[in-house]
Amino acid sequence: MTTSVRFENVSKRYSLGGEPTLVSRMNPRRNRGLSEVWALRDVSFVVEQGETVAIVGSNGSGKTTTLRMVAGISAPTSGRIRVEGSVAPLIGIGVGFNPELSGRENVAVNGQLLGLSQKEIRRNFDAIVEFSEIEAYLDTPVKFYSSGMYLRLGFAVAVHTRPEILVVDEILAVGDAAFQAKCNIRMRELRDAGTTIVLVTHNLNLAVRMSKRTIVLSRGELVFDGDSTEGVGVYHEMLSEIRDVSDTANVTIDGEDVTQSKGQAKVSLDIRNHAGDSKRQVETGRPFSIFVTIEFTEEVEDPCIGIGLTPAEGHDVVASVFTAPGEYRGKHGPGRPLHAEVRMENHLLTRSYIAHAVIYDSQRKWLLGLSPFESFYVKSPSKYFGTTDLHSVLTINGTEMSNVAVVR
Amino acid sequence: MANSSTATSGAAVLDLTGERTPISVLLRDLRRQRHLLVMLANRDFKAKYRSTNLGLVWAVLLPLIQGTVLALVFTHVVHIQARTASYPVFVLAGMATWTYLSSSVQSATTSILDQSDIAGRIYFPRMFLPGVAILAAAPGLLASLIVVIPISVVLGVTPTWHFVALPLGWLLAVVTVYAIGAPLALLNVYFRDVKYFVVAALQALLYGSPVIYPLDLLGDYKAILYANPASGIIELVRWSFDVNGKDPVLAPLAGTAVWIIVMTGVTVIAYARQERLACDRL
Repeated sequence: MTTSVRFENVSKRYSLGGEPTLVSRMNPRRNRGLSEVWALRDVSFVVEQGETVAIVGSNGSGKTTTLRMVAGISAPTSGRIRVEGSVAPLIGIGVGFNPELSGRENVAVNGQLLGLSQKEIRRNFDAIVEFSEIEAYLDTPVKFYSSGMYLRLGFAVAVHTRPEILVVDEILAVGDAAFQAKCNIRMRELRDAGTTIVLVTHNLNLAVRMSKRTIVLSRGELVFDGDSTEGVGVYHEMLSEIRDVSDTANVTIDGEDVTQSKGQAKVSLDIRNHAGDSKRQVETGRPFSIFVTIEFTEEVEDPCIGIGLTPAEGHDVVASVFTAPGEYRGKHGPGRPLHAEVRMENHLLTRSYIAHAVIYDSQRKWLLGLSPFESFYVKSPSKYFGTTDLHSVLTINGTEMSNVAVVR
Repeated sequence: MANSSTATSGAAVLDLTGERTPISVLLRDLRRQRHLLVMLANRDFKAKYRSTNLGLVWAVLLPLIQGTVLALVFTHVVHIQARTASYPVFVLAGMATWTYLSSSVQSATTSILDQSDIAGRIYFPRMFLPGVAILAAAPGLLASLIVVIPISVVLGVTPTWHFVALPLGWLLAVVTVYAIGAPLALLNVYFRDVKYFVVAALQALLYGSPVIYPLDLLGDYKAILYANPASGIIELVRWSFDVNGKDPVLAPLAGTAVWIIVMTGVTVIAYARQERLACDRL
């Protein structure tokens, strides 16, 4: 087996502090203000030909830097990178699109940048157009396209490249559900055809579905390299230490962004699996609990609380529980916290979720500052496919079928 | 299908130890991916005039108008002694060439930043980026030089066999602008003041180049202008219209050649060292 990507003790340093100017370059005293940051430290890994590897990590973990180096855009400060085979980097959609040119012309530009020859573009042109679903606008300048059309066309070209190594950055998260499904299927086709895929993503669900192997980066260091399900668990353990401010949920009540208010209560959440372990990983079919501890900075009487679950990439609440107004009676204040436990049957399937809590006083006044949250991961047996286990039973001509998800 | 794409890109191997691209690898990638230079230049050429009504006519019209104004000013107001067959043709040829040199050095200087959308998301030798900007404007120069031909005939300059050198003048302009613009493009990523400096320098250089006056006007001091890379190009273009009068051609051409050789070397070394580091700053 040949090696597609090899990182040997790769480190990468960026200097911060904005663009150096001619003046600051010549003036050593002002130069000292420029700080530097190590985006990667001594990272080593190998991706064999035909392998699919997901690289996960929170913002600032170094995953985009890794991706840029695999794609050859950036160079290591020290260490060695070897990439063998033609690379199609899908970092953003529609690279090289010029707004003045038509969709047709841009397909040729984008396709060549992604490594297709003119002959291959001609040969695949009809398939690209069909995939993009924008046939009627092919000769319209791209500047008149809606953002959806633009993405569709860009993605259509991207998935028709036939590289030996596909480098993908999050872009599967674009477009509507049907289009995303099409993209996922296409990725699987490429994977099954022996294309090496390096996938950088926040979407752990995708990481687990697409690849057996996951690399977890944290603050520029490789902290895990191995089985995806295990890796996702590691990633969630880590999340409890590193908080992504960008993940903070914004909550609006009566048109007012309450997350801006100061708050009189502090909430901490803890997810425990069926065995009572606080591992931020729960299993399908096994109940789990969310422990909520609320500490108060002011006297509060008869508070109402609610706890909800939303998928990590989305805004829909999949489950929630609330107390009725006045149902719970109690006086709380500094040093007298409130403890709540929510027990949930787990019908959820492989995916990352966020648990968050809300709290009001008896006058329905919001008592929290930032909406607190805790993420966790649901692990399910591979026979399932979808987001929920509805205990479905399939019978054909009266015979019960075993449920085996083929798409994996 | 998988094999055919392999064939186009060859056994693409990226092997980087540290920050620099080995020069041999850079030269290999330049050759292997040269089709991207042509394709991107073609894209920018098409896009440039796409939404204008007059299209390429603008590339011809601008130097023509400027040249005409200058020809009028200098023949009727300043009375320059051109001692050539036709001063208007002399100025028009000079102005058409200068307009390209000036605008292309400017667009080359900002080329890497202008194309950061591509440069930040896909790798190909960054040396192509200034080339794209320069090549996209090159048909404009050719068109405006061709338009000077009938004008010169109308103004009473009979075409000679010197015309065969016109394409050479065009090519020389493109190559020279690249050799000078490519290092500036890289420098401009690090120091964004560079582009303003370039604009100011070019404005001064218009009067430091034999565009509106003949080299010969400087008498014994004309050798100073041999150090200006624009002199050789302008004189070669004038020579092909046979309006260079007493101006020397070979001496300024030698000056231009030195610039090309030195700056091409600087370009290759600078890009091998910095092309990937520069992309971290886009």
